[in-house]
Amino acid sequence: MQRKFRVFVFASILIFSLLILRIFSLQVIKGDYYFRLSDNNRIRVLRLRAPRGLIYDRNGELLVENKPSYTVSILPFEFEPTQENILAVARLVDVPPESILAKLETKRVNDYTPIPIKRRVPLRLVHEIGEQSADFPGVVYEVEPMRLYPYNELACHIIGYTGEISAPELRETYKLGRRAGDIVGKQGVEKIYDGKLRGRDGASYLEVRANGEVVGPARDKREIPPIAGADLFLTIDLWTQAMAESVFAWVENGVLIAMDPTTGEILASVSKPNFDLNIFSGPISPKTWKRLSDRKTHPMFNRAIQGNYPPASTIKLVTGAIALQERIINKHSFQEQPCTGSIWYGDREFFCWLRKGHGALDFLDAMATSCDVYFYQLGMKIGLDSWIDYMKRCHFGEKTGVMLAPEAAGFVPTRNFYNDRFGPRGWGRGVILNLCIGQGEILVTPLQMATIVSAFANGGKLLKPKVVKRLVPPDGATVEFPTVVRDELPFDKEVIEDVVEGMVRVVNSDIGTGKSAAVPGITVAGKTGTAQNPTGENHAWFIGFAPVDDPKIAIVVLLEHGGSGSLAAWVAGEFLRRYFGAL
Amino acid sequence: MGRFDYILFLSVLILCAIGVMLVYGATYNSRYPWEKNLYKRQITYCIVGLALLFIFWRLPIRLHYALAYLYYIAVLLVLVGLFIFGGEGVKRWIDLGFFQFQPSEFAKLVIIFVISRYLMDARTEVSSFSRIALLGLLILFPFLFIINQPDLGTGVVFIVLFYSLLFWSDMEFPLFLILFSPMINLVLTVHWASWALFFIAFSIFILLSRVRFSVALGSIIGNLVLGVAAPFFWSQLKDYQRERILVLLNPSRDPFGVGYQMLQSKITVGSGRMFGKGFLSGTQTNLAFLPVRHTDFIFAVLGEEFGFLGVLLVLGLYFIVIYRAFRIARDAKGYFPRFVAAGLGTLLLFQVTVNVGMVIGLLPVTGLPLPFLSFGGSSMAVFMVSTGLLLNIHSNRGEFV
Repeated sequence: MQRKFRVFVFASILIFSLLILRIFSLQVIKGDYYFRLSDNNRIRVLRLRAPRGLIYDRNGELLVENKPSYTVSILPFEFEPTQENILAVARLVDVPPESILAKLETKRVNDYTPIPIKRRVPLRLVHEIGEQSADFPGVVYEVEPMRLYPYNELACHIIGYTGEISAPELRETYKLGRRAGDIVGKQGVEKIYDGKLRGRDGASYLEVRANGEVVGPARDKREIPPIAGADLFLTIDLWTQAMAESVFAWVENGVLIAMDPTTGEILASVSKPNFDLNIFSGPISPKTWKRLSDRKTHPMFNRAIQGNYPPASTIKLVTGAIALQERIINKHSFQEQPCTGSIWYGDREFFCWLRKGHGALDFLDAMATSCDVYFYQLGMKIGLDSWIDYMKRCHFGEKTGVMLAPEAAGFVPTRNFYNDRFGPRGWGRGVILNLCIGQGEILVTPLQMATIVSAFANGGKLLKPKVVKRLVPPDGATVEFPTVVRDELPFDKEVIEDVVEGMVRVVNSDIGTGKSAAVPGITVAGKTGTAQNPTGENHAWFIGFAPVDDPKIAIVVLLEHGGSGSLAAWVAGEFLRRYFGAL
Repeated sequence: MGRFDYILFLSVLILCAIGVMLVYGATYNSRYPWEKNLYKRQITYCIVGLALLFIFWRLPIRLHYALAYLYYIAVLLVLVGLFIFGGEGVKRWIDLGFFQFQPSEFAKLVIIFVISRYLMDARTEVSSFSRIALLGLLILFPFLFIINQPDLGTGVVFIVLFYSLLFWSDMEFPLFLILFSPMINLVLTVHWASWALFFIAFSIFILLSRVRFSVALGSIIGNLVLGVAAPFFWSQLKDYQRERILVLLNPSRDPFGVGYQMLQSKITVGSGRMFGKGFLSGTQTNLAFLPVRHTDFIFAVLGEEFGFLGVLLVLGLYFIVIYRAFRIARDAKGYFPRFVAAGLGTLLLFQVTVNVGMVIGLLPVTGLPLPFLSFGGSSMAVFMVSTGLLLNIHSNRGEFV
């Protein structure tokens, strides 16, 4: 036992000696310095804001940068919140005193964390605070990097914007280390990758006199340097995006998506109406805010991923593929009833979009002309259950998983849905006729259509759409985002080839509905769609890809209230002709 | 009754008196009126504590041996109850109206009793791994509940007590080292070189020792797996989980919160210089920086008002108490009383080290109070009971039937 006793006594002596040595160093060696700090001077911590990561396009063109900006803040511990002091600050920064009081209460993190009172103040004010620090005890300025968007509204929905954290956001992200007054991403990749972009704030310690005069850096407290956030490289191609936006310049409400069909990378994505990202880098006027929050047009709404639309005839790609896959037809099959402009089913007459009728057509020409009567007959033969099953296997009605939020899922109705909605006897078998030409209850997002048309382009791979190509943290360990195959289409290679042959006719035959999407020297495949819209002018769709032999680009155009799919085809054609340099 | 350890008793008494003074000094002109009378409550705690001290001095130590597992079950039930009914957030206290009861403080004592009894019962088989594994399991349950409160400090106390008492038992040293190696292993994984050095030294030592070859090989492989797996698990943690651990180990990562508090604590201690500012002359502005100055940071008040000399006096008293505890353990005749005394000595040594280390910026911030000095009834009761137990074991040299 003596040995064990000795071990423990020896350990105790060792530990106590260490403690005493350290205390000796604090109290006797550095004692005078600490005495001074305790007497009247104090240590002030200044936040060193980490520069937010930059955002580039796929080729390294800068899309989002930082500019230094000044923020006036209040240090809660040094600031005495008397009415007089608050009024003085209010006058200084030109902010109503009530708002300062509110901020002191709601934005307080702890005694030592500065509370931002006003951001983006002019340099003149910074000088004033610096020179008259004694008049404003506890009022400091901080340097905060602010976002600058050199291309204004370009890719605004993808990039997103930043702003001061809101109360609900704070509740959600407190565990992740966000605090009141922090600047966070509010939309797009700024929001989704906020944790990577924001970096880590540092701190520096200053010794200040009681009157606020700075003596110098604190002696034994080293500065903690901020760590910059990771840079993002988007899949967006600045040139393609700019072209898409110029093609879309006259469009009021609509979507254009250009995707690399082999990788799922989004090369360009426009959603109109859009907004200038720089709006959020300054005070927002009530007029601007009214425009941004307009409930009818919703400029902040990213229609490409958040908008649910009936797919109309663009869904004939899938309906046709199901019929081919189920061996109901081959590509040269005619249907029993030629198109006379309508067809009777049960006690209802279903019309073709072309009231005068298309006559007798095979599958390829039915695709080219988008003959509804032909596809009604396919729908009858496929049947509701089988059609719904195939739609689900094509992953309609679910989110694509693109790293943007919030994403809509679209909608694929089921028997249960109809039973719940209309009662078991309240609906007939006729619903399949509407569904198989993309009308009725089915809804899709433009991005879902982009992944479907890409899958037809690449031979059947349903890819996860990507907006971020690569993440480059300051320490250099680059993260590449790989191509993710979500699933294979439930169709054979030959089936897909046949459908694509029909899509080629849409654009390249005299009878095709999408002729205006043709590009000289390049074979474009596509499909138009005209979605009936009970509340106004029809929505116009075009989905397609080019060149057919070696697909480089898939495109989705949606014009809200665009009238007819051929207009969408023309817009897509304008884009493709510029993209392939044929204009 | 036999002999009475006046030195131990007087040291504790002086520490308690100093504690009351410091609590008064820290709160007498607080900006919160309810804090101003805390010293009176501390005096009450001391008086109740003294009563407890005398009770446990007179109670036969056999009693705690007999009741050890009953204590254990009771504490476990309270901890489970706290876990279930404690609601969201921090659940360390049970509010009895007049007193906030902190079960994790009493759990420390109970863990000492349980380990001591278990090791005494297992005396001849103490070097059997299955017996030790069962003991580990016994400690694991309360440990998990306490970690969940969250009270990492007390959780670590359990681990320290476990290893300390294994060391005091008759376990062969190589076996002890094998059991202890995962702890060293984890700490040294911070750098591959330090880990490799440990691993090689450990392997050579274990292979050369008289441990059975299969056991030696098993422990070496186990350490290898642990050393490789730890960085892997680290990389699997979510960003915010990693952040919480890193802030705990290195508060400067949180410069406005814990980091600032630690800086102020250092300033407060340092400003006391050699002779201190004098009782009640600590600069209140400075003390106000320390939110828990009368509990976890009471040592900072000591440093400021009584300077280096005051610190030396208090640390000297602590050393006497700890030294006496280990001496009582050495001289005890029975296994159970020896383990209890050694456990109490370890508990005191660990809490003093961790608390003082925290106040002077050497160790991370944990919620461990300073024995006898920090404001708080639970802690006071536990350490007064501990003193009573030590006096009892001393009085009859741990004669234990």
